[in-house]
Formats: sequence, structure tokens, C-alpha cells
Amino acid sequence: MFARSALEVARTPDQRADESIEGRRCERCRRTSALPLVRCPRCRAPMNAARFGPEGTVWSATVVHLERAGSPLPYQLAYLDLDDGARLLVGVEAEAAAAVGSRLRLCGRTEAGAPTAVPA
Amino acid sequence: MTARFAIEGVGHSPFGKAGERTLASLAEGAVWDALGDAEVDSVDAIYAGSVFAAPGAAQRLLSAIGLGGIPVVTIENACASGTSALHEAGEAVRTGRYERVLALGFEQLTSRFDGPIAPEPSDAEGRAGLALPALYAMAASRYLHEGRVSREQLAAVSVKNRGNGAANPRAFLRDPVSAEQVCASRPIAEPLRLLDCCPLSDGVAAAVVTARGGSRAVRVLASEHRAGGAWDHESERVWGYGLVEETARATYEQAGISPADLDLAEVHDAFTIGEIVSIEALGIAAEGEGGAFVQAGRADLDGECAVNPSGGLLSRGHPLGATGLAQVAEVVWQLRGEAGARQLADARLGVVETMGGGVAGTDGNACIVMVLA
Repeated sequence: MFARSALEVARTPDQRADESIEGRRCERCRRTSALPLVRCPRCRAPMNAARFGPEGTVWSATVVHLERAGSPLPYQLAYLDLDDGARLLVGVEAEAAAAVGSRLRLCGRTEAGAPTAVPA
Repeated sequence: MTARFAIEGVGHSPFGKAGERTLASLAEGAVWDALGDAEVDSVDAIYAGSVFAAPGAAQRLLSAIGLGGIPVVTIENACASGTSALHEAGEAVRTGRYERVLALGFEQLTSRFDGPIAPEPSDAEGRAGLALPALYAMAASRYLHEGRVSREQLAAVSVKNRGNGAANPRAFLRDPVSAEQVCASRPIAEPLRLLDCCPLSDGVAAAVVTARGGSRAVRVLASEHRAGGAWDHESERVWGYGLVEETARATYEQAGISPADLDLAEVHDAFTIGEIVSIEALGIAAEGEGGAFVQAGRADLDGECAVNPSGGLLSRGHPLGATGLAQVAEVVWQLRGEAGARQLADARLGVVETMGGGVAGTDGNACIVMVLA
């Protein structure tokens, strides 16, 4: 009996990869996380891979006027509370600033591998 | 009541762009001021705090200023690195491990970063571009949405602290600003603007501690260190709030005081929202009323609790590892009646709060709260 490594899980094909993210769910208490945690922060049991998405509600958002990846253009970030659990930081691809409480839909990843979302 | 440990001497360099001055030159001033203040010329051990120092940086610095050959440990705890060094130094003398210890905080940022500190690429949120102004902006944006703070109240923090900093010869930014200037300054991470943010700085600060202290010593009644738990969809508060609140609760219990007893507070105003969240979590203002507290003048030098009489991080600057010890120096000077133009009329009990983060999904990497009398 051996544990599936995080790397093995990441290679599992998923046709809707763009509209979901791989997070974790605790095998004992069912707590969810958007991050690849190995043990549950609440009960310390192992966490298993789980997919979340595609939609969620904006908990907070900000338009950032700092250089990122060599580009001087402002970019928008939001903490998105996905409907099936987990709070995820996403890059928002939209003209207007997303309001707190508005709905976004996951839509892919940036070159750096960070998840992105658009107004739902 | 029995103190945890005693601060015999403090020192802190001017904060700002070091320019031609080397870090060793800044350290010489801060450290030898602290030693002189304590009326000693040696220590048994050194605890140093710095976030971005290269390996061996503390030893390199100390060897250059006549303090080589003394055991040193360097601690990284984000913005709480300097107070972490003091917390460990205090514990070392309290338990009798050493008799006299130097706590040293140092940071050189202006030659390392062009603009703000670059987010950590190995962090999931850092990778997405969540620089520290953006992290704090998330709290500000949420607070604005919930009606817990107004744009004017955020500006009031900056106006107050820049005004206080005008009387601090060691502060980086010493010209006062108006609310109009704050609100018109260029956006950094909305709703935070340039004048809502502390400036990148270089600096060194130090403190000499012993278990009991002499006649001029300031007593640390309590010192607590906590780390943040998970901060995610299950969190009801903004980032960092829970950590500061829990650390403060433990510190007040240890000291046998309540926040209403505090005459002054040096808190983590890396961004204007930071001061508001801090004073609520510290119990200086009621939850959701930190902005109103500042706006009403209750945090002014002549208010019921002077918050950041030094000018805070917003005015003094924020060389990460040095900040906590500079906050401690201010409280020590205030308690001793040595704060010059910033001197409060009746300073008997003060609190220092530092909280730092940068790990995704975590409610702050570390928080240290200390009560001094």
C-alpha cells in the first residue's frame, strides 16, 4: 500500500480543468482548502485531492497598480469563495472592478500558474 | 507584579534610504546607543531579527561594530522579526540562560527592491501577484463594503501618523500630509493609495535586556508570540484579525491588565487599514469602530490612547526586521519621559504589536504583543 503523491494526482486528466481547481478535502472532517495541504488544519487527518469550481462569490477584490511579470498594467485580484467550499485567490479578467458579493467563474490560469476568473 | 524581563537600554538609527551610509554604520549608532543607554559595553548573546538578510549577515554586521565572537541567532518572522528577537532575548534572560542579551533588528530594503517588496514566487498567492499592499487592500475593501470603515477614516490614520512623525528625528517621512493629499495620491492596490502605505526603508534598532533591570529599566510585564491558523472561507474576520486578537488576549492576561488601561500603543500600521484592524483586535477600539476611534481624535497624542506617537510605520518607515525594536524604543522613551517633542503627558503603560504574514491561507505568520510599564 503506498500513498498517491501529489504529483500523480496533478497528472490525472480533467476535461474541465479550466473551470475548476484542484484543492483538498479532509478525509475525516470534510474540511476543504484551495491550497495543496497535506494534513487538515482542523483535525490533522490526511487531505485528499478534490476539485472545486466553477463559480463562486467575491469575498474581496482589489485592482493592483504594481508591476507584475514585467508588465506595468494594473491587474485585479479577488478572493473568491467557491460554491463548493474553499476560498481561492484569482486573477480577475474583466474591464470593471469586481464588487464584493458579485459572482465570478473560473476560466483558466496565468502563465505563472495562478487561477483566473471572469464575471459569471 | 513580576515582570517577564527588563529593558535596560534602547537605540535606533534614522530610518529611510541609507544612501551612502552602510548598514554597519547604521548598526553602530543603534547598537552602541543601546549599550550606552544600558551603561554596559558587552553582552552574553545576541538575538537578531531580519527578513531579507543574507546568510551570515548578522555576524558580518556585529563583527564590523566590535561585537564579533558573541553567540548570535537570526530569526525570520516576517514583520514580527524584531519583536521576535526581543521576545527570545527576554525569555533567555528570564530563564537564566544568559545574564545580558542584545536584541537586534536590521533590514536593508531600498537597495534590494526597486518598488515594493516583490511577492514570494514559491507561495501560491505570491505567484498570483498578491504583494503586501494587495493583501491589506483586501481587508480595506472588505471593511469598506461592510461599512466598518470609510475612506476618510483610512486617510485620518495617515494624517495622524505623518503629523506625529514630524516630531520624530529618526522618522523617514517627516512632512505632514492632509486628507486631501492622501485621497489624491496615486492608487497602489485599491482602495489603498500611496499615502496609505508605509515607505520601503533601511534601518537598525536594538535593545539590551536583563532579567530584573536597574533603576532606569523599563519592565516588560508580558510578551506573547502566536502563529496564525488557517485563514480561508471558514474565517469570519479579515486576515490577521484573529491572530492579533488572540495574542493580545494572552498578553493582557499575563500582564494582568485590560486594554482600557493602556496610555499608548505602537501598532502595525504598514498600511492605514493595518492600524484600524490592529486597534480593534487589540481591544483599544471596539470591533468595527477603529476608524471612528481615529477620526474622533481618540488615538491622538492627547487622546485616550495615543496610537503610534512615533509616527508609526507610515512615517517612520518599515525596515522589516528593525520595526518591532523601533516601536519598543518609542514606548521605552515615552515611559521614561525621554520622548522630546512627542512626549505624552502621562505615559505609564504601553503596548507594542507587530504582525507579519505572507504565507497563503494562513492568518498571519507571527504576532508578538508586549506590554511595557
